[in-house]
Amino acid sequence: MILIENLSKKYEDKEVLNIPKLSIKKGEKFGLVGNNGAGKTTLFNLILDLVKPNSGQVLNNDIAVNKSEAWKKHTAAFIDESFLIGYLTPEEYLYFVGQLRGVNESQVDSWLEQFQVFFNDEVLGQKKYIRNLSKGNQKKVGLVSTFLGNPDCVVLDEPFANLDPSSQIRLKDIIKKQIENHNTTFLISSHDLNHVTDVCERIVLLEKGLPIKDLTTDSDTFGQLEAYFKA
Amino acid sequence: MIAKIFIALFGIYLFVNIMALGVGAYYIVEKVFPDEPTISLINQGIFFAFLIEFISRYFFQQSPSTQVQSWILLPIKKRIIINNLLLRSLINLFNFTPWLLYFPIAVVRVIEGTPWITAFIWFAHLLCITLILNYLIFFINKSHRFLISTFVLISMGSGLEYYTDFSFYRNFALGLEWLEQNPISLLLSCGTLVLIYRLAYHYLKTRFYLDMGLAKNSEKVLQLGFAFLGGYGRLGAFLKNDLRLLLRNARPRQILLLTFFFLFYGLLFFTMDMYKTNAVMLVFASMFITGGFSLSYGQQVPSWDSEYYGLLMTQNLTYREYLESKWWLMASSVIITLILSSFYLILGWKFFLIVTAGAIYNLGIGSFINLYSGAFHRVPMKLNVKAKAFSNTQAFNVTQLLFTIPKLGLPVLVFLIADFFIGGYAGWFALIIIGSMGIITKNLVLNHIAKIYSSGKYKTIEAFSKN
Repeated sequence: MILIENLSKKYEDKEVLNIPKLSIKKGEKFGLVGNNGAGKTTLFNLILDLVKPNSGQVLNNDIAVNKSEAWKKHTAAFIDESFLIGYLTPEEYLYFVGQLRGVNESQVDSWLEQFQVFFNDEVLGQKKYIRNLSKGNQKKVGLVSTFLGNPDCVVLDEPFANLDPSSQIRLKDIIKKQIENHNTTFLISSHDLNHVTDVCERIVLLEKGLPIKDLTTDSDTFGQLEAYFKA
Repeated sequence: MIAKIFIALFGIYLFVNIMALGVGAYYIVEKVFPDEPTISLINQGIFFAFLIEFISRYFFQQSPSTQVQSWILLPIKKRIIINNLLLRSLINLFNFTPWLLYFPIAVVRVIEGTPWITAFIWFAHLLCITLILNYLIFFINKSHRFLISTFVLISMGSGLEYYTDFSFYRNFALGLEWLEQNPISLLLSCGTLVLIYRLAYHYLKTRFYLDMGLAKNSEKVLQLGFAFLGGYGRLGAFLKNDLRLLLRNARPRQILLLTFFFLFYGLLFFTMDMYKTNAVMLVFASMFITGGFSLSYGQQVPSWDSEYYGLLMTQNLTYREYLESKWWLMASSVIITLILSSFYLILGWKFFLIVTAGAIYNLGIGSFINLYSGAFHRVPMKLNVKAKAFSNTQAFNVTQLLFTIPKLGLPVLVFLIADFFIGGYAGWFALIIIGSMGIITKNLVLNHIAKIYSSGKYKTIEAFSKN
């Protein structure tokens, strides 16, 4: 699904990311961990062609992301609030994204029913603009929008941050269900080792822009990661 | 840096202009209307100046409550913070107009023989009214009801002026004349000022909690149909969003107001002999009447979407589609303003021809130049924060300044060439022809502009991420 080769990014001569090779299979649940400044968001921005690499390239389904825009058809992402349109209501926003992915309004409406518990009656039908929702509810709108039209590849940066504990658990269930039903490839970064080991089958640990560990999740993984971050 | 120098120069230019107007106003009025008492005519003019000032304040003056939030937790007494806010609100271009405009007139009046005490009282009253307006706006900020009722009042007022003998501006002028003859009346003006200051103080004080006046959540959703756009697929979806952008955010609403003012630009140019006979001025007028929106919106095109640019760049859409929807928006504005400007027919069909020629040029050439210049305008914008009048460094940069040369120069050039070689109405028809050619080649041009946008993609994203 995603193939990264010799990818590097520098900001003013300081290398913030250097990945010789990284391959993510279709349907893989890929987790990315690392302290602040390790390069997690930079990697996602490179995968989404939001920043220009200094060398190397990212292939998404054999499409070089900086050469063609065809990968956008099967990829969805939520990185931060710059992925939300503040002056729309959540419904209008989801209709808009739906329109871009070929899902019409009534389809969006019936599709949204499965997220009622997740939204907890605080998001839909509130007659509020997204900019006036709480941070947590804004995040829910952005996260849910990435599942619209069931894209093959979903990129989520820190999806658990800003969510209350119930919502974090519900989000995990939603992600798992999405994987089960649509074999979606997930790329998730998180500071929450518990959640990320729970959801992801493979975890890459970044340190100062370098992938220093590539783990297949098993019962030891959480302990291994904890040991690393304690040091 | 260069932009700052330009702004400073522009500010000085404006300052000198207003001063000159203040000094010259008295003599101009005296010369043009030698039979009527000069000061009462000036007073009538001041009535309209206040009216315009009041409406402009509504659109441009920042509500102070938005600045309170960062102060609220600091260990400073509320009283001090509120007084500080109220006093700081005086540092505002609007509050300098009395000094720039009315003070010179007062000085000229003294030179022309008015007792200085009378001129002083006259000026003091005007100063008080300005400051009263400054605080009055605190209470009505953000209220659409105010705007609507103001327009209703103005139209009712104009009806009264037109159909009866009653006249607001004449009575206002008479009132001012009475006030300046009665020094004691200063107590009235100053008293009102003090009163409104106290009211503003209490108004802010009761709203000094995060969940009251300072809360931003009180916004109601402005719901308009746009259902008809549903039938236009993806393009319709973009246009729907753009219309919501225009109506639901403070910055774009200012552009709409500006567009409305531009519509009446012709009244100035088509009626004054000085301009009516000057072809270049008429070309400018024809550009502005229908091109106001295209000019002010188009040159900042990616900026309007800067808050969610990351979304647009990762969604399933192309620059070409994005630009096409922007073009349709600008085109609709040209067509709507053209229909609205049909009242220029009253002045004669020639003037409507001029407006139409400008509209077709704006559709086929102007809109593209504006979109093109937007590709170089990588300035993040806070959509729901009003631009402060004349301190808007965001929308001002050297590239945009350079772009005004083709924006205004090209139509003038086209006109003058045709006018020189053929004469008659040829200049106007030349604008129509070149505009139509632009409309026909729209797809080619948009493809080209899309390439320029996409080559600047990373730079734009980087600039916008500093929002």
